[in-house]
Amino acid sequence: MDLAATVTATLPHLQPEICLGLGVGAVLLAELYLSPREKGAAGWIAAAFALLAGLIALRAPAAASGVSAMLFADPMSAYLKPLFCFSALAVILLTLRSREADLMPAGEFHAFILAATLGCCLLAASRNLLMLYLAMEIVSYASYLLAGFLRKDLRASEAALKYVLYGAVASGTMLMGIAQVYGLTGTLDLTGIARAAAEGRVGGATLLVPFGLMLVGLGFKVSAAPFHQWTPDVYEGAPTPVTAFLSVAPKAAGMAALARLTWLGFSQVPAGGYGESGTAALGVALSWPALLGTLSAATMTIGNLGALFQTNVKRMLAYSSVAHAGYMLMGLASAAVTGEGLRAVLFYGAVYAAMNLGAFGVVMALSRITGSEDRTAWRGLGWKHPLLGVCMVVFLMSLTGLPPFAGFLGKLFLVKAALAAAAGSVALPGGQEASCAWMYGLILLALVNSVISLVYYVSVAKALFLEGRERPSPAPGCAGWLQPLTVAALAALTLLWGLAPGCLDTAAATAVRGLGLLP
Amino acid sequence: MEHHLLSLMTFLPLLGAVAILFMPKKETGAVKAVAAAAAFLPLVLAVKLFCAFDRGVAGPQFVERVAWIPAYHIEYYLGVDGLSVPMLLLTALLSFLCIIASWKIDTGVKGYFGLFLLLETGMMGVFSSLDFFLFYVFWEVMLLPMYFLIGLWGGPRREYAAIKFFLYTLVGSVLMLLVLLVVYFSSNVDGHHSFDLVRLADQTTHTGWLRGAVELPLVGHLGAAEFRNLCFVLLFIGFAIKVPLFPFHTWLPDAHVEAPTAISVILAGVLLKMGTYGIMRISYPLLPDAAGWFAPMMALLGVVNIVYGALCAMAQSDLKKLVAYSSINHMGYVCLGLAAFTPMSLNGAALQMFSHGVITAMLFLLVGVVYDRAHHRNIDGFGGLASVTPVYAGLVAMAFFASLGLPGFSGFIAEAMIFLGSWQNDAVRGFVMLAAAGIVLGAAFHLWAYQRVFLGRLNPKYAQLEEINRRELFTLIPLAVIAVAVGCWPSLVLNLITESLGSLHAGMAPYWGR
Repeated sequence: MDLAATVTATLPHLQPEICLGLGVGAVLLAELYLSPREKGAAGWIAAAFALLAGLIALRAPAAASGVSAMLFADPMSAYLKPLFCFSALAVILLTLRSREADLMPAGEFHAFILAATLGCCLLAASRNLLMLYLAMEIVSYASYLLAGFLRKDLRASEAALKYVLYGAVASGTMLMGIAQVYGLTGTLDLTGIARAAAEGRVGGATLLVPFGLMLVGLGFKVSAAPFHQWTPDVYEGAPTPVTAFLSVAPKAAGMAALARLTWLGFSQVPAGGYGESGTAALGVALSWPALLGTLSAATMTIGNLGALFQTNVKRMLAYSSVAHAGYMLMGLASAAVTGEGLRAVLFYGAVYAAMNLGAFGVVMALSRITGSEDRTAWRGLGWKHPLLGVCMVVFLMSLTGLPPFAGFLGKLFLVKAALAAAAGSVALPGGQEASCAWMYGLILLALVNSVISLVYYVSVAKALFLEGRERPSPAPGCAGWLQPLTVAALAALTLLWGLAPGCLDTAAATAVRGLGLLP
Repeated sequence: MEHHLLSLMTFLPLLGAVAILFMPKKETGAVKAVAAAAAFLPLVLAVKLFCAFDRGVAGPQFVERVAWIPAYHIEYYLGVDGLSVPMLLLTALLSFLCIIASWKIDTGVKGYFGLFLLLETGMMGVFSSLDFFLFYVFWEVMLLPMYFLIGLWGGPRREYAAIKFFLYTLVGSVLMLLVLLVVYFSSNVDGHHSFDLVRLADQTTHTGWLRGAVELPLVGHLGAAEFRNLCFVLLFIGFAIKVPLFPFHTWLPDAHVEAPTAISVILAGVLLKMGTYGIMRISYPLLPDAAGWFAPMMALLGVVNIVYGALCAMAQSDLKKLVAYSSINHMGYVCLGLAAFTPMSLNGAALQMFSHGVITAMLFLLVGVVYDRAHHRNIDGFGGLASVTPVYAGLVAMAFFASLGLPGFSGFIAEAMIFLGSWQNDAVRGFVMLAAAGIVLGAAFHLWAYQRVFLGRLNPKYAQLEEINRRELFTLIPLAVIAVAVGCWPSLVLNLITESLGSLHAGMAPYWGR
């Protein structure tokens, strides 16, 4: 196939990305020509492009396999791209009238958000390790800049610097892993790596080192312990809209990339896909499900224990996002035995986006009202701003995993997949079988963690409603209309997906089926 | 109309809550009226259910069935049998009476009544769900309103009590969730997994984990029977926390004492019953052999509850705490009746659930009456109240006698049935003898408390204590009438129960001794 033909064949599948790219340009140009008084317009333009990209992505035709050597256009990327675009849209809408919006150059900010979204779309669709690395760098650079956007704020600068330093080391490590893979297999193509391992051209144990190195890079992106240390500081220091975005889109994209890397690059799925209790043969000697399971256990526990004693809600949500990464990793680990695991992760990704963005939205609105992100400054505010308060309770309970909110189903599906996986086993290279019974322990740990998480989530609800009812904190500001509206929409979505998950779950199932992981 | 009876009973309160959400904050009178209406309609429907319920049928009636999440065969599946009808009646009645009893709430009126109605939806849903998943969802829906109702309108240590209640219950529900998933995955109903509680009672639908061996980390190899036992224990702990059975009971005194009166009534009258209801609705039919294995332990826990609850009650100086511990004592009888597993003891247990709901509601309401006036509940802080408030003293005497199991009241019938039924089972006869001691202790703490509060020399501080008013009487009289009516004519309720429990017993009996 010549170049022109490749490009024309690929273009239809890149419409969302193209739209986002155009959006970046449009926002930057608009910023140049608009007077400072019309600053908000740049945000609206960005929102329009994010919405457009999301709608296009929703209607994107899904090809059965990769359309190019670099990118997939499969149902999984078709599932994730709208998620990224709509997350960006929500963040932009939440930012438009926020406290932070007055302090930052609007045009650049929104342009970077769109650019990061573009990077996420590419990351989730990468088929080639080089593409994966480049996409990750796009996301990272945009994130570094966004984190340090409040230049006069010392904390933000500190956060950005920490982020860059950690990020540089992580991506360097990852690059090393990629180079080793190339040296061992002679290819950067994910399916090619799997083939090399299957044909015995490279021993399973040798692949373990590059796999571990790449895990560092992606672990950094999804903030899995022990690569999570940057998370609390960066999340706390960065402007809240940025934190909201970082906790959702890059994390989901990282999960998707990790998923592709693990089951596609480092295991061989049986030709017919694996059924309810089938197993995949792993390309790596040490079973990577066990590795991911260990990461998951550490991540959820460290995240939850860290969140337990925070009074700054932003920092608490940062730790909580680490914990949720741990839950999702449990799903990825079970994906080695059953496609249900990946289906649950995808479902959880969308649900988590809605509830976490919502929670950050309330943080933005309340910090605009009170000028503080500390829950002690929010005493009794639930009574003065009932809509924000009630929505916050919805998000917090959903994050805890209580029905009838979507977070419950998300967690339920993850546990369900893990249970199915626990009964199965995976085939290691060399014909051995590794039992996954340790998964029972992981499930128990996840449930214990859910109970622990109630303590800190409820502490925010307690501050909002139970404390200082007679004498609420002084609240000079007002919330405006846009933030509460966005927050309410996200709360409605959280409830809707909890009561009628059919549509979302079917989409997730289709995505996984497209990978041949579900019958 | 008839066909959607259960849905209406469940969701009318929710509708009321939504309506209240949109009402102006200042119209407190209107808010209360809407709340009362939204709780009264389900009561009317409950009475209709009581009349229309076919007492000769063991299986579920008034069934409503719609696919909810088809991908996982989760259904919106409502239906009632003899076990659930009395509970629904109790819920509807107590909810309405509690709304009337809460009439004097004046802070955060919208929030209070809205949350209360939300709670009622959860309770109704639990008692009418026949789908395990749906049951779980309703079970959890109750947590949040309860947390806020205790935490916002409760006593001085309300925040501690509220979070303690929330955490304890969540631990229980997490265990339940685990078993829920295991049961689901092990089920094979018409070729697919299912949450259908009616079909899952059929042991032949169980495959997979519940019928095979399991390798667990740390625990090691578990045979099928052992694994079923493990599942039963996990589920049992989940329900025991709600009952609450010793040693999971410590949330109860805190929550009941700190909660506002009406919420204590709901807690003791309805929520505790959910524990034993869950055991009878889910644990027993699904895991009958494991239930038989665990029965001696259950009987022991029941007896500990009876004796320990009574002793604790005797040691209390706070009247409300005394009533709270009396609940622990009374739920012990239910547990004993379940463990004995004879048709008569099961019937007695179900009747005791209903009867205790009615009687304990009276007790909490009566404690609320004196607390509203004296602003304390210290048993030794009163004295001779009988001469100041004779009507009130008379009602308390009646409630106390009903509670300690005097013939003529529903509690007597229920406890007598539990004792007689349990005696028929040789295995628990020893426990029955111990439990009989609890009867004496129960009588002792009731009478001793009564004596200190109402008899003896009048405490001059309370010489002007106001007599019980008409609104309070309105909430108490129906309960008193029911306690007496069921006490004199037990078949009023027993008729509802017998057929369903008979079939439960018959279905489980072959597995019990294994």
